[in-house]
Amino acid sequence: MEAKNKIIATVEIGTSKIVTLIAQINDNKTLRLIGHGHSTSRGVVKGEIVSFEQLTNTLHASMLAAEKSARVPIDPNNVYLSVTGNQLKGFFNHAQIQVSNAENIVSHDDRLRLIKEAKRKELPPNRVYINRVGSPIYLDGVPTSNPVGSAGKSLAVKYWLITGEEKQLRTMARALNAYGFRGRDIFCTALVVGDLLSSEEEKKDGCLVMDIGAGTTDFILYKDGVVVHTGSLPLGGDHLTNDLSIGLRTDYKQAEDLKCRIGKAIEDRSDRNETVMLSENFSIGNGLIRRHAVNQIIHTRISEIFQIILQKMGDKWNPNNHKGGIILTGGTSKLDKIEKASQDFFGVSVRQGILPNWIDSKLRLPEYATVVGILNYVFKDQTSKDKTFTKSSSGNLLKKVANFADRIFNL
Amino acid sequence: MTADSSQITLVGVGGAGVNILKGLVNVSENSTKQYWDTDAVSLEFIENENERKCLLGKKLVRGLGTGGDLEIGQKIWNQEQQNLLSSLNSTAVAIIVFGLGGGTGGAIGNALAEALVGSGVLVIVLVASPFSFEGKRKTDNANNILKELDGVADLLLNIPNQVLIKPELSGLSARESFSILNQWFCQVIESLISLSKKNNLLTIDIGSFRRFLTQGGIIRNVSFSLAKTHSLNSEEELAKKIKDFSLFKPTMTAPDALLLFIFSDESLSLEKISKIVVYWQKEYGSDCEIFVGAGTKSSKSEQLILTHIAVSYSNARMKGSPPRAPIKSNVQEISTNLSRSQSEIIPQNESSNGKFENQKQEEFSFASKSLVLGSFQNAPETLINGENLDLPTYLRQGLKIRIKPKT
Repeated sequence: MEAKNKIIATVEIGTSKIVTLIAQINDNKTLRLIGHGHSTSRGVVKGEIVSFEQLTNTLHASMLAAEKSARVPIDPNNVYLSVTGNQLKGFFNHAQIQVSNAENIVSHDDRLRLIKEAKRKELPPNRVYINRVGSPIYLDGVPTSNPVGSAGKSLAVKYWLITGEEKQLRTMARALNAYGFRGRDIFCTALVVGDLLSSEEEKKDGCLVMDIGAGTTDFILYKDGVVVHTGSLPLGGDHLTNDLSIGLRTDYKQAEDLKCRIGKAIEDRSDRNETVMLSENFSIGNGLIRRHAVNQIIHTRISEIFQIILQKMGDKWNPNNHKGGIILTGGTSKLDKIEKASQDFFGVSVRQGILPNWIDSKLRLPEYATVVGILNYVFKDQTSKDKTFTKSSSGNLLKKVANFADRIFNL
Repeated sequence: MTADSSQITLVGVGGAGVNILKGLVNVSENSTKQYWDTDAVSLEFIENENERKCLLGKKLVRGLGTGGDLEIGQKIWNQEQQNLLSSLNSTAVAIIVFGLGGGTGGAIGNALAEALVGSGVLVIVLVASPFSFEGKRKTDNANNILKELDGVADLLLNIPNQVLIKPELSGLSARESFSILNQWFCQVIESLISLSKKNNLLTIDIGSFRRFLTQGGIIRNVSFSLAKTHSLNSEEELAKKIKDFSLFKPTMTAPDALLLFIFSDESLSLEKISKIVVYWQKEYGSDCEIFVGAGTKSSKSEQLILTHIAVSYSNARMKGSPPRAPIKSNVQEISTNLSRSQSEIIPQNESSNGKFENQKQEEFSFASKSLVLGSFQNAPETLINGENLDLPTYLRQGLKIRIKPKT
């Protein structure tokens, strides 16, 4: 039996930073954030682990800092992680079964059989499941929240299945294991961020949540309250900085500073005749440049990222059918006029994602959306677990995915 | 090869290519049509004596088509290429039209373009790429062929079938949607073959057309758009339609050259033409060289039809720069030294001693991979749709950006 008061830790291994949150869940009812740690990420490029040693050191530094801030040790068996990057792939798997009962009454076994079928698609040897997100079950073509006990002939459901590269996930698990931690579960970044920032109404109306980070851009598309697409591109704010650094022939740090200081995601006509200093300090090589040039470089890259997202979503995206609009988050979403750029490109309303009030104001920033999102997702799952048990005894999600966690993390 | 400079040959290869050319009614006196297919049925109703139809691979597939198999298409090409190429001996411009999803168009269309390169023939390739729902195999084949064609053809225009699946066209039947696609192809072909038509209002001779296609090296980026509007509408409205077209690239703000072709009725005035051209000159800046063609047609009563093809070359065009090397030698250099995307940003104005001459400081030009990749030079490549996206977007799109203020 699990303890009533649990200490859990959530970790985001990002390209620019590794953030750890420690929280206490009391009686599976309330959540209290008790500590956080932060370290500059090393060994991760565009969401992909390129140096195990560097990652391990910085991951440990972040977790140690969080323990220090919380003044409690992290429970080594209750660590939750997010995953991002080009390795993630998603696809729908449809399943349909005939109701087994002679009187055509749907049984609990029918429901389980259907879900098992929808989740069962065999994967290539180097890939593993990360998350499987279900849509409503259809009983004779009619959506239903719980078909058990109802009369009907056939049941159908579709699952959005998210997979990752086993090698990358194993490396991540080994980095945790190096200090005696064991990952309890892992989540696709887009899934936790989408769940944190979009309301039920927006999901129902159809909305796109984009988390534009330093190394990756994760996105999730909802329609009729369910997930219809997730994706992760190895493109983000670092690409903007790199483009500026090359184009302006300046160093990376100066380009990053310029991006944050005067960068805009749109080509503003009013900037055409404006000039700015390349750097705020009076260093050698400093000089006047056209502000418009900076924004042209940024705008071109941002538009390309949007174009690829649009292409990835294909015909699932339709501005007329996604009245919930777009919700932006991630460090790069702080770029000036990015809402306007997205609105012009996608043709729907755009807003910045707002992190919940229960988060310390220091952490209520778009760059922390993922790590807070994991916490929110785990907490929601923990609290809904008891309800599920009393209602339908269908078992809890975490137990179901334990097999996956064992396979990936139990080395 | 001796080429009659007035000669333009349109070659429709495979089912899609033949079908598109069949719909093209207005062929000018300076152009001829050829239909090449492995499917006998698709060639059945072509009875015009001036048009050449050619059933390919009679022995191999017996008029039944390749079944989408590129290898069969390639075998047929290997067997019949001598005969096929001899039919294009007197051609100055070859416009090759095919679909990328099939075995005939995909293999033979592509091989034909490659075979003509370096022969002095201007090669324009118009392709239709398959819908995304047609499966990974077709999409991969199409992407591979596009990669091969890019840098080989003098001008490559790809109209993806997928553009037909958009909200504005959702009320149309599949037949109507395909008809729109065919109309787009026909409009662009008609514009290209009308450029040098003798009785046009404004003509562009083949030499000027060659300059448009080849003066700045290899065309690396194309923004292609079509619009149809009422002749009394303003140039802004016409421009809006151009910008709303699915294949228009809003990010291409400063192309090196622009080809405009205007069709209208007899009332088309010079003032109207001038307004349209001035609009685009303002939009793209004075560095963009504009090539204009204009023609009238009684069937286009009170209509104004505009074809817009903006291009950027692999390097920034420099005044007085020498003509580019033969296309074939460029292609070889790319394949032996660098991957496609890396080669895009290598300046063409490098002198024999390896130094860059007349290089404008305010424009981008880069010599080595490390400079171009910046902080990503040791990172895993970000390859999406065959492009290395770690390279700055503006470089891949061929945009010229002025950094320093004018003094």
